[in-house]
Amino acid sequence: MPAFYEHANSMEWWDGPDRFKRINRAEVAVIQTESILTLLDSLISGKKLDVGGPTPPHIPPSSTHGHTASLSNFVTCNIAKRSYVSLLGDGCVLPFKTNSFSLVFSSHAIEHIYDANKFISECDRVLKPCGFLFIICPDRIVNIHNCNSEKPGERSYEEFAPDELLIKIRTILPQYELLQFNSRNNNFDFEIFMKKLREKKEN
Amino acid sequence: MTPKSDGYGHEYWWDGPDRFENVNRNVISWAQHEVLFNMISALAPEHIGLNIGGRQGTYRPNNCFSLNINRKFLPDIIGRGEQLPVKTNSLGFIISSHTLEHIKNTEVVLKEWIRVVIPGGLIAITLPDKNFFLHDPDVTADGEAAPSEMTPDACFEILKCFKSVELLLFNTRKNNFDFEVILRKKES
Repeated sequence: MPAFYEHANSMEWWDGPDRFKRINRAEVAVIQTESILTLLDSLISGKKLDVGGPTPPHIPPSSTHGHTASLSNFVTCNIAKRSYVSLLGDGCVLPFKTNSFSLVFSSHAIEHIYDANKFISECDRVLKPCGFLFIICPDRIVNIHNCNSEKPGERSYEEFAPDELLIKIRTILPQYELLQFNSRNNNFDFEIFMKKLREKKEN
Repeated sequence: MTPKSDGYGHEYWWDGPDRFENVNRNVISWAQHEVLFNMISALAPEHIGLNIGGRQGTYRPNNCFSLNINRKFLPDIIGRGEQLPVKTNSLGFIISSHTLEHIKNTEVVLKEWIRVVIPGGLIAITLPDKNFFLHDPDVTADGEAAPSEMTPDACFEILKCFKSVELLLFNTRKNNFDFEVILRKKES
């Protein structure tokens, strides 16, 4: 074990501002995403969608865990042709019927989409009433993508600070209840967890 | 360790047998516990829950209070896990990590926890795996001795006896040293 890990043995360090400062980013992000997916898979029943998946993208399909392509209730949809995506599709025009999923999950995808507003309303369309929306996004303040990259899937069009994205989503989807807004899970991501309430009837 | 490539320039050590080999135990288990706490409390926003064996921290979900037998952890409530100072069917959820192995009568404790949770409420428990992780059996200090440390199989045998709950998750692969259990109390 490297010497710089030693300070991490105290609980005070975990609660302090230095938390996640000197540990492997990818490691922490994979751990957290894997736990989130396991919990969502077991706690929420019904069919689930992973837009921009499979999440995390660098785990092969032989995995039995932490990988949406191997979780039987998850459908993974990506615009880029990856070897283990279950469906090719655009986030702005999702190839699914209205009210078809009980959970829409998206990790590190919304910043790569040209029209984020369209994407959010598409997520709302495919989501059932009383369904859940879970979005993980990198924090613009900490983590800056390469905006000039020409590789598909690497270029990010619009980056968000935590409150910017929250305000955007709440403006587009006012009928959603905010369950969790966590910008403290690590130093570089934030997550938004919302529940769709029953739609009001229009006169 | 020789990293393999999936054609996108990533290494997938995570999936192999080396996973968790060179990483810090505490960082992993704290990160995982925190995700668990946040998720369980977010799914029951209109209810209050209890973190049994919890401690004071700078961050905790708003609807979750910590209960501990030991004053030094500065919990919200000082109390015993066997006799919770809570009414029957009143809590939305119970979270507990690395606590159940420190209490002697596992069946009695679980019965008590199931009593206080509302029908449909969740009980999430994280425990160390006895196969990997041995507490010091000679320690007699309050709260540090681990008389009922168990393997996942032993825990599963105990859980099978409880007919009033259903098992939502039994995860032994989240890391090399813990396993987690999520129970839901049946509507009766």
